Amino acid sequence: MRRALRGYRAYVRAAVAIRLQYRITIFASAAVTLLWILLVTRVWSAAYQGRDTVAGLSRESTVVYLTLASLQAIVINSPLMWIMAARVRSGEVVFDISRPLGYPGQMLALQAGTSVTQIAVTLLVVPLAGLIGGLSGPAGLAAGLLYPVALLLGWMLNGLLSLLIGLTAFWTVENTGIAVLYRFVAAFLAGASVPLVFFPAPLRAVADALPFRYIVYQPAAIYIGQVNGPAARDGFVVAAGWIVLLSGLTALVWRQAYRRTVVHGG
Amino acid sequence: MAHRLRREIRLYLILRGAALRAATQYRGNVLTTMLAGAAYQGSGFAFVWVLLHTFGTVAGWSLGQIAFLYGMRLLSHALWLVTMDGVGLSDVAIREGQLDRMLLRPANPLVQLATNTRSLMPFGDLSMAILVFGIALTVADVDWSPAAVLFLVLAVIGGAQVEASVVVVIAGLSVRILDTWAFRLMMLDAFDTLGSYPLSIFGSGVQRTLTYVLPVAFVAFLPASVVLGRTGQLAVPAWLGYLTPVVGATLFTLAYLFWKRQLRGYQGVGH
Repeated sequence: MRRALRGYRAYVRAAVAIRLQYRITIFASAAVTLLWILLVTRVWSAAYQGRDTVAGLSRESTVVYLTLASLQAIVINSPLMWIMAARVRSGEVVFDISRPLGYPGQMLALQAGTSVTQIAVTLLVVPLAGLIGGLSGPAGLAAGLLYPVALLLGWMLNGLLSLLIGLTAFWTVENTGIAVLYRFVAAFLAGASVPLVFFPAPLRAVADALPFRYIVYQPAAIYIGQVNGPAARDGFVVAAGWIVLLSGLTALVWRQAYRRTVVHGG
Repeated sequence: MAHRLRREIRLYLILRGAALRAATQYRGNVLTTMLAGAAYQGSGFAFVWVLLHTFGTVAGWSLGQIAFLYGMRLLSHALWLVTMDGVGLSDVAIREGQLDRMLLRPANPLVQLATNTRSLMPFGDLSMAILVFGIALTVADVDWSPAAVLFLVLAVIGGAQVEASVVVVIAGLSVRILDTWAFRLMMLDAFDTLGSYPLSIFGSGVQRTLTYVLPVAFVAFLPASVVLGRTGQLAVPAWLGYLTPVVGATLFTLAYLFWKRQLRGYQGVGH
């Protein structure tokens, strides 16, 4: 157990080191996020014009939500899926599989390392994001305490979903299409550019039924006080349920993927 | 001159066709890649649609009008992507020595670079462009005189040339500095993010910057304002909206000359 943990820690460190090699990429993605915050907060402010509160959200809360949501959505864009596909294509995946550590665990450790770098950079640009968009303190003490918990659950969900998408490479080899598809559909249904309360009813029902909303909407909505009390508690229960369900699914899909690799002859 | 141009166009079509045939070999990936291209652009429009569903207008623009602007920008964007997608991959072409080979063959290097792609994502962009613009035409109130239609066609081509000129300039830079990926990402993202929305949501300073410094406004915002008769809110002279075809052709010519000049100093990476 201790040895396994040490192995995973090494994976996280390696992923951080890989990301730091591409410093200019990190800088570029931060710039892209800041530009998006500028646009999306201005578009919404223009839409609010003259109105104070729409659908129970004030203009100020919406701007804070959009700034936070744009920063949170950065984790959805992870290189994990491309790395997995590239290693299946080149055959290097054989080395991953033959290591004395579970393959899904290795990949989640890679994802964790990537996120560590992304989060560090995100924290650095928070002041700029606040200046360009708008930020304020959490809605209350409970909101401030629950926010990191909700973020962690969202991060785990995104990690599992990315891993599942990445595993499709064992069948399709090339997975650029589905990876890009995931990135944009997930970000939209997670509420990255529109707080879910503004969704028309049928679309809202779809977003509510899927796990993406716990990655962006739930934490940001808790922070601004839009979701609190029983609604927040129920959200945590459902998110935890999704994590259990997706973990099981990942194990199942991985078993099939592993068999396919053996059939190929390694 | 005309003969040479005809020959280049014929070569371009042959090479583009070959690239397309290569791309469609991966059947399973064809559909998902096109869907991905459509989702990329579609999720941006979904944002506008949901927003206007609640608010009705943004900075005085209705859903039909924003769809028109959005569709026009997407048509320009898809047009340069479908024709010149490979230019955006100049870094790889140089790093892997493909450009060396292109310089030795008897066809324009930019033509060869433009067709050096296996991606089908541009066709996803194109299908979303046609969809959004098609919807806009049924909703927005547009003047359909022959002159207006002609201007619209020229403006879409001009918009495509504005975006393409940015990519060609960066391809020229990549001849010298090799790694331009992040720079290209930021420039194209600026067009993607800002090009499709009414820039009147910003103050006059930002509007002027996006007209005179980074010509994002010329791609769709200015010509669409002219076609839709919404020039009242512009922070720049309204007649600039008519200039998109000229601005596009000029910028593209300048970009091409820049690329050719940079190519003269090409040293390769040691293949």
